[in-house]
Amino acid sequence: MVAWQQGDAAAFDQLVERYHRRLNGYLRRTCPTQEAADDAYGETLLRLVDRRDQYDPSRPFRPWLYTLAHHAGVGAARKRSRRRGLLERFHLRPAGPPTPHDDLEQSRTRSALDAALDRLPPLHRSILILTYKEDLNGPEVAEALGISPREVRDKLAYGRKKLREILTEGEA
Amino acid sequence: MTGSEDPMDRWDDDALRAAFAELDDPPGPFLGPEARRRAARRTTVRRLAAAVLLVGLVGVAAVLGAPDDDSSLRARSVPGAAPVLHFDHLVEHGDGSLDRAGVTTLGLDDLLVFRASASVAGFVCVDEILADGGEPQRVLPVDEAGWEVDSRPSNARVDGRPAGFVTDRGPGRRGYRAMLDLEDPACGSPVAEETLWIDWTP
Repeated sequence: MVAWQQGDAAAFDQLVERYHRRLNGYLRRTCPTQEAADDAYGETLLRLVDRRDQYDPSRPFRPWLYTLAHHAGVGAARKRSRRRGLLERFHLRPAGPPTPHDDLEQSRTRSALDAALDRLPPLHRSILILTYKEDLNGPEVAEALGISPREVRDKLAYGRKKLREILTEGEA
Repeated sequence: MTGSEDPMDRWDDDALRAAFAELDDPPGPFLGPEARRRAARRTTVRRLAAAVLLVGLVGVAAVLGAPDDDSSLRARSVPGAAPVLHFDHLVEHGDGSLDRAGVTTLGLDDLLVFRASASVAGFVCVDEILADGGEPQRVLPVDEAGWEVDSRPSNARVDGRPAGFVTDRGPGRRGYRAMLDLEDPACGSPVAEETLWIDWTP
């Protein structure tokens, strides 16, 4: 990121190469539609370009990246909603395509987890993904989502409990 | 497993992390080079081109069709007097609701719809002014045709269609300076100006 701030375009390309899958995965799981996720993905990268000077190199990169992604996701969802004249919420999304090389057990786990995440409120879903998938700590999740660390803690506890219940229920 | 063991215990933090790690992340729709191309294109057509969204026709029609409650503020021509520019705005919120002028604290996803009228016919341009004193950035017009105004309040239009402005600079206080030029759509010799200040909030 520092190299990109200094004008190294190849560094930006490497940065995107490193993060595009996890960024896209996050947005697919937190945006209401794939179209909104695609919009948000593009907007996140454009903001990475436009706001590179706003990044503080002394701070970790990923919370900043997810701050951009979160705002882009919220904005994309609202714009999509506005264009259609429909109220959309963050609790529906198309299922991701299966990958042929995955074994059956992994597919079951993935499907069950994605299905379970879909049943959670959007903010709880974001907190769980950033915590368990992206390994951000509480303050970093709070920064990314623009909420207080206490809210992260409370919603993480609730979301984790609900997720466990749903996953356990699915195994029964 | 014993009979007293809670089935939910299977999903401890380690198991959750392992399951999340297995989630499939499809590749992004495009990568760095395309992102840079798109960013450059956006810069080329000026920030407004990417920030403009069509305002819902029904909402705008409702506003335009409604009695103009600020008609007393319409700029009027006085023989021999300096041209007068009147500049205000509408706000379309994320939920589709509309506010007339007076709301100066906006969310980052709110649409700012510029409105202007003048005591004499001319062209209006709008520059964005940064509170930290940076170089003003032109946001209107986005084409050579410019924004024509007269004594009737008109909303800013892009490609002939009603348009709202969305900031892409993040939170902060920024000014929008409207300038009136009697002949030049790019406002090279403005004869009047008026500035609106907006606080963009997360």
